[in-house]
Amino acid sequence: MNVLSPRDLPELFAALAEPGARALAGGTDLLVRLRSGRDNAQTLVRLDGLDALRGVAQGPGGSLRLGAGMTHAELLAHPLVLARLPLLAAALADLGSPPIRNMGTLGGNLCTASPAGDCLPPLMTLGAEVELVSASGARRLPLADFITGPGRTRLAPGEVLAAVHALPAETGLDAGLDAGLDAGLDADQNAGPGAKPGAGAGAEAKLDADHGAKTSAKGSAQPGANTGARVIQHFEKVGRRSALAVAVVSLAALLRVGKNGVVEEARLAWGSVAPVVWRCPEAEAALTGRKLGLTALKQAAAVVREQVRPIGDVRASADYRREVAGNLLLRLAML
Amino acid sequence: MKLSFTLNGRAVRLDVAPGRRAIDVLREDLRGGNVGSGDLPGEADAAGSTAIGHAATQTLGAGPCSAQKAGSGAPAATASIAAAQRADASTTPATGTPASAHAAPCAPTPETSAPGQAGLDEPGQDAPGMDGSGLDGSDMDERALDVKEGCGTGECGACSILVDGVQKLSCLMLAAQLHGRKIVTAAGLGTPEAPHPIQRAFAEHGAVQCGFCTPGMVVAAASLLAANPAPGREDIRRALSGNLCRCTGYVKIVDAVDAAAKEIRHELREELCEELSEEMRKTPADHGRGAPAGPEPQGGGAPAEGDANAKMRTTARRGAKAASARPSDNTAAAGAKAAGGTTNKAERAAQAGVQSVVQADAQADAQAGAKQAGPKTAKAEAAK
Repeated sequence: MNVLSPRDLPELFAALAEPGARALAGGTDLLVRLRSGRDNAQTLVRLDGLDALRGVAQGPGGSLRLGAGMTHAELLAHPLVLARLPLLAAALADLGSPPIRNMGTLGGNLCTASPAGDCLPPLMTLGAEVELVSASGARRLPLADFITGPGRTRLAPGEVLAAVHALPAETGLDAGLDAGLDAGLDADQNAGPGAKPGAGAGAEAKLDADHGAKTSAKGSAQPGANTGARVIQHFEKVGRRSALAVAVVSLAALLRVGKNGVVEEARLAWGSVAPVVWRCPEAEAALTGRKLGLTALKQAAAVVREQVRPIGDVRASADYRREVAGNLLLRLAML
Repeated sequence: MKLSFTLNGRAVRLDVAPGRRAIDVLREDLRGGNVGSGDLPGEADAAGSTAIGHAATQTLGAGPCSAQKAGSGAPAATASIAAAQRADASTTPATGTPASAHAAPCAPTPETSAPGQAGLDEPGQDAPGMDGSGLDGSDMDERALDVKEGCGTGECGACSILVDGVQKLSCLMLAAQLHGRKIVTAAGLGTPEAPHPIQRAFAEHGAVQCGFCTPGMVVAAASLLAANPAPGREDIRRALSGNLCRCTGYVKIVDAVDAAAKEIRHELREELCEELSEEMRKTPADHGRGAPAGPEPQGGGAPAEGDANAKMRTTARRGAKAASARPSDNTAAAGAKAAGGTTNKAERAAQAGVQSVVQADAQADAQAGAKQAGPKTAKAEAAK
């Protein structure tokens, strides 16, 4: 087997043109498949030396550009991800195991396109877009369009996933809320996006504090400054154990709740219950306009159980998945 | 492909197929070199070859391993290596001297002369057990006990290594990914004579039963303590969640990591306090004038103590910054020295991340720190 280590994008595109070339990100999936003969790549093209695939940066309109080559651990340690994308951070914290998070990348998780990919439901509820690059240029696609089935994406030959663009959920919700978050972010942003974590003492302390909070809570509800309005961002994964488990069912939920406790917008996405991440507009509609509470959630859960068509496999039966897919909504009553 | 990296402080230069698995390359190197090279390593390269500071540079012979492509896929390659490993284990006497242990695997034989073809290119080898994974007892070469293969699929953590200080799984890395990196295995953290606090704690707490998972556990623990020197038990459990142990039930392992964390924090505090009092003795003028002691707010308590703690943190941060700079080992040692202590201890401190140790420690044990700093500060004042 040949291994190529391109140092920039032109080298990458040349390498990908080799016969039987396959892009290698973190290797946590591809190398396992290769070894068991489930993949027949002749040439592995390493993505880990490419600066174009690295970094987290603020884009226009408050969106964030997440380099596809960032490992899960790197994203999980990034102040912008922790502060702005708590939903993704919650999923990353549950992904694989510490060494897997040190190796696996965001781009790898997306391009593997497993129905159980932990990053997918959160990014789907956030309306993320993927940035694809090839020798002929760059293009952007909604993540929902990018993944077409288990292990299948719209990645063209010679093309790689360079970055994911996600709009943080709180953007534009409420000026007061934004201002509050920005104030909390000051310490981090003073360090500058390009600065190494730890450039300022304040940033270090903030990061530590964020870490502590995040690992103990999977969901977050961010209260608006002086208002009762809030955004609920919740991720929960049910697996056979809490580490190193492929999701049996997972749910990412993003709710905008008004001052009166009424759900103004609900975005829900389930993992592991369909060939791709599963959305349920009927359940979202069942929650919207209702006061957030057990009554409304139970009704939405019933809608979910009616609509969802999971399969049974080695990890769980279809019936179990259907039941849990609905029940995961009930947790939202506790946030 | 020509590879160069450091393995437990020793420079390694190899010529291997880039598509080989990192674990195979590392294990082969730890065993004393390419079995096909006919290059018998000296006695000094045996059990002690993984100790920090062993500076031998090894160049594995060319031959089949030097090919950029190793895809001709001889299906017997993996099996023959497993056989060689079994032979190795079986010919190692219980009280074996390193020299005799070498004899079997290093004799060049036709079957074992093409290790470059084993590994990823080999289809159908994902079942753990009798495939060279070592679970069949073939992996007990005493020179390569620190990188074990359990599952070969990233689920057990037995092959964990530190790559530039970060825990990774060598079974899911390619040889090419070792290039330019600083690799540390469990054996590189300490030796039987001078164990790392984590290693000593594992022994003292009975955290080792069959021992197969232990090197990976120790590496995972080292990775944790570098990032978080004051972990709670839940933090420890999470950090070790990628490492499977089928013997101990984990309680003793968590106990051991907990104890090691406390010991490392204690050692660092002692060293820093010593250096602090040294510094204060040298520059009494700085003291008491609210000398710039870093960005931390001055404590509201006794000014001397607040000053002392702040200075401790600053000193440590300076040291750790330098220590964490790569790739120069010299810088690391120098930086760690700045953080206080002998080189040996300082190296360990660098690995454990002085910066965060002291920060967390200063917070977690503020009182104890103040108590220790107190008398010394007084001494400094007396000197003034």
